[in-house]
Amino acid sequence: MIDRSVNGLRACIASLEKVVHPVVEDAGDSLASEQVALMKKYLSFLASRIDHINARERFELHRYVDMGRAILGVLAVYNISETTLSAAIERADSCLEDCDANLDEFNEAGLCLRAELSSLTRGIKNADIDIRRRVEKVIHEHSKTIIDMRRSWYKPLDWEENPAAIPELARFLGNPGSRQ
Amino acid sequence: MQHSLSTKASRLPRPGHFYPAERDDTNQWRDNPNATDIEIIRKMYPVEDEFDLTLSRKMRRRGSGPYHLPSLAEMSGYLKSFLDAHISGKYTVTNEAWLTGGASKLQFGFTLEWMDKSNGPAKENIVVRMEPAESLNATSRRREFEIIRALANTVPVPRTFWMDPDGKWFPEPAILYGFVKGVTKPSADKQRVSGTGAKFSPQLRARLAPQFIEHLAAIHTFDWTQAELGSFNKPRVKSKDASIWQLNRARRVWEEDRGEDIPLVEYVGNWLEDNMPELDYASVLHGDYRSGNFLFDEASANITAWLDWERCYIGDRHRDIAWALTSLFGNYAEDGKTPLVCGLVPEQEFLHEYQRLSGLTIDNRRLHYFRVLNTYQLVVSCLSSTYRVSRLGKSHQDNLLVMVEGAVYPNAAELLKLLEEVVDD
Repeated sequence: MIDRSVNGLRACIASLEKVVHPVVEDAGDSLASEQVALMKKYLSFLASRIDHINARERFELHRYVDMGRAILGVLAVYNISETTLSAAIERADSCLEDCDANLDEFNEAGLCLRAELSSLTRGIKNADIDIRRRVEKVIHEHSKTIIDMRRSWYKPLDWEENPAAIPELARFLGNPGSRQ
Repeated sequence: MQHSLSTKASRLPRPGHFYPAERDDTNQWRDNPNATDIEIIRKMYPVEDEFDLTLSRKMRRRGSGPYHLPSLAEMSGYLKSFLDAHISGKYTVTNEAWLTGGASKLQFGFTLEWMDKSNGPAKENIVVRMEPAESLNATSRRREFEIIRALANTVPVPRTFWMDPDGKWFPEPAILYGFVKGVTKPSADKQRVSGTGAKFSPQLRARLAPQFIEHLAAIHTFDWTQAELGSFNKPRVKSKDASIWQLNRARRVWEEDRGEDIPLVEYVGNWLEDNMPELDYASVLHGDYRSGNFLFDEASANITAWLDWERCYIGDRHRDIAWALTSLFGNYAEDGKTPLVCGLVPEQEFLHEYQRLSGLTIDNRRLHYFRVLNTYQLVVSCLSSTYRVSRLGKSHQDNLLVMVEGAVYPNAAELLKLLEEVVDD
């Protein structure tokens, strides 16, 4: 079935622009005018992004798997085993390899992995300082690409000081499942 | 904890409490916390008493369904009940209307004519200011009322009339203050959300910048020990009280509101806990000091009022200074190269003038700490509260809140940059 979601969103935007907004403006209801403008903006943003949601989830899951693997690598040097983190990474990997995996499965695998990573990070302040520094360095470095992609994702919402410096989304999601 | 170099594999310590974000379709406790959930979080993150009240209230009411924006007629009814209880004698209300502006507050304007006991016949344009059921920042109207009243002779602020601190007459806690004429950004600048890099002409900057700095200095040197600020906790000098309360407040909001776990947030939280400065001098802080939160008269370029005091507290002045320096609130001068603090003044000039006018020093290490804390607070509230509030339909601005999430990521990038400056120290 051909997907018509973007058509539908564009139709909503056109309706707001051509029919609803003029009436609201004439009525002089400033709160309603403000809401119409917000709705148009968000629906336009969604229309530009809806086709990329699956690719985005894949991209992020890959990056968090990379983060998790790098942390396990650091810990292995100190003979520290993190079985729950390993299990979460394995689950995420299975999801990435499964062509039939749906968005819910990606979300669940991602939530589980990030919960493990976050719990570990919160607790690491009580660990040996060398281990802590090395693990936090992994988190710091691996977070960069995730943040860069999300900046690109939200670029149409005009929060960037210098939007020209933010790469287009295709740079991150152009090849779904690719590693950078 | 020192790790063991034995051959047996060990495990990293885990925190006593970690509550992962759950899937949307499971029974998320964050959507409907019980008394035990709320109590656990209160104990995990001690904050100032008044913020504890507002955050706990938010959580107790969380499961009560989507927010209902009162109609004009309903609001009129609440207002009548309130005024009946607070004004003896006749009064007239006209020009009732909802006012626009702001992601986190509701404002309702009206004109009141009444017989003021002290001053005789009075006619004022008044604003009722409330939050919706939940917003980007759960804050206290009591504190806002107290601080505006206390600073009335120090910096331009609205005139305060009454408050309903517990939402006895209005659907939410409210303050009533005088409407002040002015604009928050030049009329010609329609591009961005007010306060995010507003474009002021060089002529306007020359007039506004001195006031901007002078008012900040005045607020920070205000003698709060003589003011009626009963809802403010007073941090001890040479302690970490103020910083602990602020970090805990951000962490508590993250715990209460988030829809996803982010290792970066935990990592930065750890850094903030480890590097907290002691307080050297306790100042009243605005809490959101930036362009977009003052009104000015376009013709004279005089600042007519400072607004949005809800994040105020007593603490380290570097917090306000660092907040004003946040790049989200600034932009570049016409040369395209000179960054302007809040779109008004180059950074070095801002810092120099502030020190000259206040007599207080600026310490670069503390300033850096608060730049990290402020950016962390922005990331945490824009990521967690926008999610939870819009998911549950708890505000009148859910549309705006879903878009505010876009502000997280330039700030998250800034956080990484800020930590790169010190992590290898």
